[in-house]
Amino acid sequence: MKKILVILLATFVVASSLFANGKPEETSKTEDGKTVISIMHYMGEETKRNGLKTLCETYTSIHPNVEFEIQAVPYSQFGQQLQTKIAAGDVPDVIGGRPRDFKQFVNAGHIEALDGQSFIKDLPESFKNEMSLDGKVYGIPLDYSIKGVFYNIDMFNEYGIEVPRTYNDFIKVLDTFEAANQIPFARPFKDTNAPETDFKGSFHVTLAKQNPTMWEEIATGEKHITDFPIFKEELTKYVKRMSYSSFDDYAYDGSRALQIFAAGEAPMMINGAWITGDLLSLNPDGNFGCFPIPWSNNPEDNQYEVKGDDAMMVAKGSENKDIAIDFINFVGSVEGANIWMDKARLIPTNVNVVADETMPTLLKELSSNLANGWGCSSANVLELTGEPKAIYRQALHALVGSENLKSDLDGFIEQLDKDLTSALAK
Amino acid sequence: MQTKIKRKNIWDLMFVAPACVLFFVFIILPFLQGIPYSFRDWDGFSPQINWVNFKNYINIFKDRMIYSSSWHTLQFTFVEVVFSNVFGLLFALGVKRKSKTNNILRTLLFMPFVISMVLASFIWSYVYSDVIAPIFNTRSILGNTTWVMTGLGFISVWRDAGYCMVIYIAALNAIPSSFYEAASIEGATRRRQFKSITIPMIVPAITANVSLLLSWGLKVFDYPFSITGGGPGTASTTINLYIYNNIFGFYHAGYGQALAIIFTIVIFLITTVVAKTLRSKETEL
Repeated sequence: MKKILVILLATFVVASSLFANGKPEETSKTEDGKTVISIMHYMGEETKRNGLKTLCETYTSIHPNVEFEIQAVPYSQFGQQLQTKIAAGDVPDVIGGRPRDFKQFVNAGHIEALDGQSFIKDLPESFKNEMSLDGKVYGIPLDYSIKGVFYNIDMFNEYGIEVPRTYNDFIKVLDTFEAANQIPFARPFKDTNAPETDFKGSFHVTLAKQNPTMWEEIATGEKHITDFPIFKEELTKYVKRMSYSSFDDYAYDGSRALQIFAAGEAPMMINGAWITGDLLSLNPDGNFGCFPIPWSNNPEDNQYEVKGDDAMMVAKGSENKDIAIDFINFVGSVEGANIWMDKARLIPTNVNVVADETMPTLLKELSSNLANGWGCSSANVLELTGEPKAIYRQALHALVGSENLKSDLDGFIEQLDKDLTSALAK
Repeated sequence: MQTKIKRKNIWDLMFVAPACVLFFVFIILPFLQGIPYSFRDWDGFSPQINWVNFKNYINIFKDRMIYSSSWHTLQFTFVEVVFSNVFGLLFALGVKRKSKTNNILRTLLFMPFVISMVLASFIWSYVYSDVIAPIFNTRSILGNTTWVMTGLGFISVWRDAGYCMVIYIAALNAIPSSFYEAASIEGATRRRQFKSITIPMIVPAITANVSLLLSWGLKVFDYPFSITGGGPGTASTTINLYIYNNIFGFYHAGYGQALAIIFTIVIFLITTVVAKTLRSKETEL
């Protein structure tokens, strides 16, 4: 009996040591008393991650009592991880992302309003609106997200092709490549969100000009996609674009597709300006340009879709809120913006920072095109979030690889409407 | 006498106690704690939670994705259970005799099982797109809405066949050689010996492997999550991935919890019925 008691006691001790520890004590201070600011983001590009690292190091050199803990999470898992961290009370001090993409967290009171902060006065007006919800500013975008057709200038010259400014000209360009057995696009469709990014590049320009409240009306259940004929019109053009010969698009993710484009295996890639840093790192001697996706035969309609990108927010529950906000102000300052432009190789949002001689030609061209009115802000287009967004994204992902869906767009839209209605009823 | 029996029972219980404690803490307790959430509309992070009674459970029957993700799960399970067992048994028959070469082969065949599911997923993602597709001048099977689940299933077969092999080797080596000697004397062919001696004698191993792989297959999450993200579209979204998406990505934690509860019960019922059926066959054979 004694033996049994001893074994029971040992089992209890082992079980206690396994389960009784509970949550380890969290601390935001290092052993030598320095404050640690945690940043969680989803920047996939190496140049951007280097840019953020440099921003943090520079801030630490100014404030030696502050250190940073940077956590990069894949975009596809970012929302989930943030949700888990918030639910567990382990929220990071600085959160990457646009407030409108995470409006559930903003509405639930987990994000700090940043009204009155110094960086705001240096932001273009459209970005202030884009970073706002219910009249309050919740984030700062570090750079411009410019969606368009990135192209290889040398390959265009080789095939004697001019940059298209109308939809018909764009189709002629695609026909020329097709006739020459040259696959026109590098597409990263292994990433579920990539077909949506591709489609949005032209569709959201159209929406911003004609129906900016489309997704809001669908999200509230007031209307269905079938109530917006513009969706089918644009989807038809998109499907036409997809019909040209391609690589094994579903096999390539963003980085593989970018390698293909950078290496000159495909002359075009529809994407956002966030690829420029990595593109120029992969091929520093490459001769690249970017034109707006031509969706209309009126050249003035065809503009880049412009948004604020690489936004940052501050968690309301942060223990180091004041330092986190001060860091945000530093990032938005002229010094911070210059660091970002230099390291991340992107166009910063601070209106006082101008492109200098060191800026790569591609960015200079983009910057100059924006100055010439080639950009269209889609800040007024409020997108779907949560399950409806996932359903829409998955539907487009399925569409690009399915000839059956492509040949029956009415059926596709009808099913999408049904699925959205079902998700909104949950 | 009765004291001795009691003492033996206590000793027996002591051996299973640690496993029971772990099972209770990590499986039963979270399951029970999750039940109240399944009657609420919690988004997974807000302090505000409302009771919605049976709304989440009713919605399950109206959700089109339940049917398609169940079908994808079953497709994967079929490939996993059938081919892992078939290849596992073939490998076991090939390397059951003890020799240096067989020892090396056994290690090589078992090695994939040691690799993590996520790593196996990444390896095979490249094998499908950069090795197999160019050889057959086709596109990756993982980009084909019809065949993607089969493609994912064969990754699990590559990984789990070695595990089945180990169980089958143990079962094959436990068959007395005198059975085969007697059969040979009686003039039984190899095929007849396999059908009438080997198979009946390894049925307990088949029961173990089928039950285990059935539950692994029905619970599949890692492969679609890490390779295809449930795509193309939703062509490889399995039940577990759909539950995960609802709880974490769609902000329907209450609905996801209701789904998880129903799914746990379904897996329990299926594996119990299959295991019982196979055990009854053991006695018949």
